[in-house]
Amino acid sequence: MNDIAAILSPILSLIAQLAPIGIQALTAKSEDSATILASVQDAIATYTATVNGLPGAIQANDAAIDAQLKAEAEKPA
Amino acid sequence: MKLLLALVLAISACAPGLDGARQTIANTALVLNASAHAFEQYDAQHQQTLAQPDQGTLTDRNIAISAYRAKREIVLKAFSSGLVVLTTANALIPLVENGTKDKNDLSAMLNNLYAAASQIQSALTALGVLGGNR
Repeated sequence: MNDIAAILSPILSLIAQLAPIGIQALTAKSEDSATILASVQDAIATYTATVNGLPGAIQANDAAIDAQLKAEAEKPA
Repeated sequence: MKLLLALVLAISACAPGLDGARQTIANTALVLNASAHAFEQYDAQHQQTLAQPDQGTLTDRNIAISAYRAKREIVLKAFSSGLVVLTTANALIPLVENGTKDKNDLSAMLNNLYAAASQIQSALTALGVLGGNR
């Protein structure tokens, strides 16, 4: 019995020392994953808004040029 | 732009696992978003250039602008396709996480992302937004 205790004691001591480090590492990993996940959602949402807004922006560019050319065409020589 | 796309590819190669895949999706979305804004700005400036009187007669300029607008459609489609690929890729991650899909599906998804980014780059180059085609 004493032999088993002698073997287990340093192992338990090592586990006790390493456990907080392990928990810290796991927590840090979890936070990193959460940050990455949030950045993915943000990036996709931003790109979605840009792509959905692109046709409108292009139409505005077209309208400005069309108006400019129309004004030139209607200008008396 | 090419440098940024290369960066996305490099990050993808270096970051294994699901977080790496997520990071790749986020980086690709950021690069494509910046490209879309660059294209929007180019569109306004380029049409303005084509409309200038020193570019020819009014008829010539109208023809040139129409031709440019027709070519521009491929870029708009490429950006939309990029959005579909990004959204699909993002939806795949939880499925790989819970075991419904495997790592091969993840690799295929990453290849699709590269293909979409390359397609946008080619479309922008063909239009003259990238390279010396202006």
